[in-house]
Amino acid sequence: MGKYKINFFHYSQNSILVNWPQSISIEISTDINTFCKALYNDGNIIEYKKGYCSLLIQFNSENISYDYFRVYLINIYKNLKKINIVKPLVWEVPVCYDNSFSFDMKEYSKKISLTKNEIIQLHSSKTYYLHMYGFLPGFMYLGGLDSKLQISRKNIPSRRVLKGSVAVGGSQTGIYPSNSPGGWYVIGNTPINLFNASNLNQPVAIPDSNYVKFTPVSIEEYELIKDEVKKSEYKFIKREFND
Amino acid sequence: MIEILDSGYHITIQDRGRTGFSKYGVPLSGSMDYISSNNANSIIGNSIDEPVFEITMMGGKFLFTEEVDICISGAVFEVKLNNNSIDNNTIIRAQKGDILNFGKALKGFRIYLAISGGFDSELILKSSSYYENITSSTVVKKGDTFDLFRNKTIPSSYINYPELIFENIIEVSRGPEFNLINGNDSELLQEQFFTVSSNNRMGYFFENGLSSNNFSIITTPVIPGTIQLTPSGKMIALMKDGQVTGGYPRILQMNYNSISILSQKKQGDNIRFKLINLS
Repeated sequence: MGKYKINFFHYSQNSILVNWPQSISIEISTDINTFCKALYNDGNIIEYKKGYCSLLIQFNSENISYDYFRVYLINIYKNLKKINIVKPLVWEVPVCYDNSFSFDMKEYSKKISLTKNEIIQLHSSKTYYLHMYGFLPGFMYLGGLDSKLQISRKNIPSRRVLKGSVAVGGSQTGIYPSNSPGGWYVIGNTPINLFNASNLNQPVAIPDSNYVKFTPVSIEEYELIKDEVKKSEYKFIKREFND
Repeated sequence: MIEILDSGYHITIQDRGRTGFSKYGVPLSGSMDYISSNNANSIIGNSIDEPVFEITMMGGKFLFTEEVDICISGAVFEVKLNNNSIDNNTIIRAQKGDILNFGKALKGFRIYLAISGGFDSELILKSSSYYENITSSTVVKKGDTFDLFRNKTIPSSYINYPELIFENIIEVSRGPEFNLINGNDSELLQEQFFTVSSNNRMGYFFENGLSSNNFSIITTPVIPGTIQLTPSGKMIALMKDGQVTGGYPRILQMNYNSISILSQKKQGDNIRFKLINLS
């Protein structure tokens, strides 16, 4: 039996939106994951996309009607068993907070009244839960930013944020997987690749529902890691997550 | 082989898109006007999965170095094979050395070129649709060449009424946050004409909108066809290259045909929404 009261919405000709209680939490994300695992091998499902507290499922509307599919989903949720989800890992992401990368650090530091060192310390001491991907290919939605680090987004977004930029916006922190316009404050950069379009089975480096921790590195270490990444020799440091 | 002699305003390769990768943040992509790209492929005897060229607004010159059948469908362009005007939705034989030349769009905005048997294009994450940071090219460039495949695929019997795309009624169903908008705005939405302002493969924007608001929702999944309401009251209609998540209320959802119809609109064109029920 699923833990929450969920509801359904006929979203488009061939998709259904499943809503969990509207708040951001690891418990809700875990429940959505358990539900997705139970759906996994069904031929009537074309694809699904997770949100923080919702799931949009595209179904094969030529084979199955919306009403039938909804009842089918209700039954799956009713009979949801606690399954042994693989233990989440903490993936260490090296970040260089050097001035040559932290383009918005000065302004950010002033706005939230913390020194650069305090910001780095707070930002790199937490583990962040990877709820889902979105915005850009390989962009992680990470939950768990310290409230002292939260800041409203820039009024005017930057036209070009560099690939690898580690940034803060609203109650979130994240990494730009490619060059892109963006409205967050850039405080560092990671040399690792988060997205590889040629990897058909797993184009993202870090699977969702895991944890991410930022490890500060010097500019020399940054260059070394960048070189390893280039030669495809870079190995992530990861460990089991313990509450 | 096909060689690009002139890359026009905006030409890309599109197919049915990258289904299955939205969970990694990858947009669907694919033909903006699937009615016309499907028609072009079906008329020529291709499967509708075959990649086509999507030609937007104006321009584009294609040289055929060998004989092959082609079909164009979608917007009405000034288009000539050598010096002869050619029609949409018919099978046309290009001879070795022929040049296909696209001028301006006279009616509509996007036209599709299908090649009998298909052509060689890079396949990334199960699709040839161009998208930045996924495929190595984002637009077709002068000097690009494409080998002809001459595949014997099973043709699709799909042929849709080609004039449908020139309608200006956009059929929409209620989005999950439709109920946030007030009664007055709900009436406006159904009675008023909305004028297209800027637009691209990611989304269509409109000059006029509804009342401003301070609605906020937790980031949620969206799909092509989702119409979001921004705080200013203006709407964004997400198209094929649109992001897979969004934080604005989803007030309306276009159906497949409506996405095609809107894709043929350009800046200054007017459309009206018609609310329909999904079931």
